[in-house]
Amino acid sequence: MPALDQIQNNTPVRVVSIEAEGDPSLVRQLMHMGLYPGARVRIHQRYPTYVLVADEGTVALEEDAVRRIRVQAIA
Amino acid sequence: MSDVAVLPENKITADVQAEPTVLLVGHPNVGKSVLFHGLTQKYVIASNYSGTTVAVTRGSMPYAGKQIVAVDTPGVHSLHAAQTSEDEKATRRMIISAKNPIVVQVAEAKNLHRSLLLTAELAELRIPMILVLNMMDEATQAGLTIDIPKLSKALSIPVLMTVATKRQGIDGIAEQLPFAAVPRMPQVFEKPAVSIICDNAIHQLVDQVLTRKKSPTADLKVRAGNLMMHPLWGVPFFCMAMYFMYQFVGVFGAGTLVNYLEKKVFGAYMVPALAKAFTAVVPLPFFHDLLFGEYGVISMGLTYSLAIVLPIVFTFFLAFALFEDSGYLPRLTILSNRLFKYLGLNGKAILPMVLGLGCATMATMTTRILQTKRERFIATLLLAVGVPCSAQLGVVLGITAAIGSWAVFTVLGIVLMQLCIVGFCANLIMPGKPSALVMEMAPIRLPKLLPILKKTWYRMRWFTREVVPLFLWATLGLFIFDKVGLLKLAERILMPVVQGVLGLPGAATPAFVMGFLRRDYGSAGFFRLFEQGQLTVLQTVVSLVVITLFIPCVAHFLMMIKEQGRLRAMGISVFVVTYAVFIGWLVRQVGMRLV
Ligand SMILES: Nc1nc2c(ncn2[C@@H]2O[C@H](COP(=O)(O)OP(=O)(O)OP(=O)(O)O)[C@@H](O)[C@H]2O)c(=O)[nH]1
Repeated sequence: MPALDQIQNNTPVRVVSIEAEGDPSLVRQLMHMGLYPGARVRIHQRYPTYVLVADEGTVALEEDAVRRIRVQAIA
Repeated sequence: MSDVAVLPENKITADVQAEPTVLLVGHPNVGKSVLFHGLTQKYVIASNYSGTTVAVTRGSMPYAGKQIVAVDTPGVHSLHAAQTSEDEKATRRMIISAKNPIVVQVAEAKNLHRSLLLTAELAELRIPMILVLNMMDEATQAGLTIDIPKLSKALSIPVLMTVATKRQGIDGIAEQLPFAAVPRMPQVFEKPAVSIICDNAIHQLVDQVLTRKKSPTADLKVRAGNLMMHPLWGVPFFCMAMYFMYQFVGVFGAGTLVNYLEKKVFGAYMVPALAKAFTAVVPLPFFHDLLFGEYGVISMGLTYSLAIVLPIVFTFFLAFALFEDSGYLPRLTILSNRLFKYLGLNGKAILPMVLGLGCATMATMTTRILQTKRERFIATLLLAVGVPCSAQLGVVLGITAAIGSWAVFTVLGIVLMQLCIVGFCANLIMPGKPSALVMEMAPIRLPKLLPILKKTWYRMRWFTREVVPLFLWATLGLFIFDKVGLLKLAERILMPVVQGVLGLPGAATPAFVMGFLRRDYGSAGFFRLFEQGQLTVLQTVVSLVVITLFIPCVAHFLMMIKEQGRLRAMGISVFVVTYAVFIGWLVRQVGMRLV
């Protein structure tokens, strides 16, 4: 399953899971910002900081965190 | 009202006998503050930048014929015990320790799924609650319909729809409070430490109650928001915003308004009239001096705080509220994140830093929104080192502009460079590293005039209550120091530094002593010396750099003690003074070789 940072800008995908290793609170934080498993998300921009647009929220993240998000193509 | 849900029958879990406490809980920026204002008599600062409700506000609201306490808690991203942010800890503690609590979860109707995540966490706390889906107008606009009765039944708690800004549905909240209950929620997070695969129950529930008519299209506001955070277009946008700030705060506030108030209203009419009336009643020279003398509480303290600082701070708060409410600040956070990382901070520091250009004292207080102790310390340090407050900036700009535009850039450039150097070094020296930016972006909203005025008004009130008395006390202290000769003593001690190290005339010493009281007064003192021809251009530049980097005003110093503790505040101050003198010396050395 690809990590979100490998997806092209503005291509909607679905969040499958978030790797929590080393930072368990990050998962919850992201879920509460709209990046819960099952949410539709796309990368809006990468520079100077990642901006992810999901159905239920827009989130600014750094690359490290974006790599933790596993996604799949929308059926 | 038709948008109030059908109630689950006989669900009276809240104890009507003992008086309950109502707690408004919700994700950041869902309209809690506006709703709280509609529910109660007291106003809270509402803003479009997550995390500005740093202090908790209480009010009273009707409940079963009585008035009970309602509390507006800071917006949280999660209530789970593993969360680390101060706001989240505080809110969790507040809910758990409240006597007979009823939670009103305020949620954004558009974001049902994540709202229910929070409901699930609240359910784990076993506290009776109701769910308020606010911003119904935006949800409808986005083509969403929510089956409220079904949702209410599934959760077995009252669910309401509101549009807080239009007061729609707000009255229903008080009516439904007696029916608050612990929601029926499946456990969502079984294994919070490992990666979470799915929260099925919430998915199913959302699927059952939510219908999406059309997918939302990018409207003008979204496009404007995108431009603001664009790596390229964001820059001209930022320049425009700063230019607007400069025109409105610098030219209009610090120029036009201050001139009118200080010279006309206070200088020509009020102070002389008051002085005359006072002398007629109390013909004692000592008291006249105390109130109207050189360091008079009225002639200096009151004039300074009301005629000079207040108009500048007022225009600044007005402009700042506009940035906040439009949603520009989070976009600025994105643009500046990488830069702040070098200084040991992350993009979130843009809020205290920009606020510092208005009032460094208030900005020091808002360093609370930063995540780690390390970041709070560095931000406080940078605010103390060289973020000039608007009052000071006004004077510095005035003086340097009189010399020439190169002087403006030289002084500001040197100061900015010191900010970078100090931040960079602090980041290197202090253990740890800046935390990663994880930030929710509030949508761009067209700011409304009334909330902006209200917010400005409440900030002004805070300022006049907290900061103005400090200025008056400080003036009194100055007066006494002057009378008993301590002022002269301080000047004598500083004289060698001023003359020897900085190469300034001895007459400049009082301006430094005064600089502690009011940063800009120090600068103003130099202006006078410059006009009288007592300072060369180089000496003026040196003194302005030193006074800008120099110790913050008394109010700022006291706030640092409050936020960082006595030891750290003293440490910062000693460092800042030494550093300011050192840089002043350096500028003089370099300048002498250049000129
Ligand atoms: N369209 C619309 N806007 C709303 C509504 N309620 C609040 N707002 C706006 O939403 C923004 C945020 O409101 P706040 O009351 O500051 O939100 P909050 O939840 O208190 O935010 P924090 O305390 O900072 O977490 C403001 O600009 C409000 O004007 C609503 O029902 N509809």
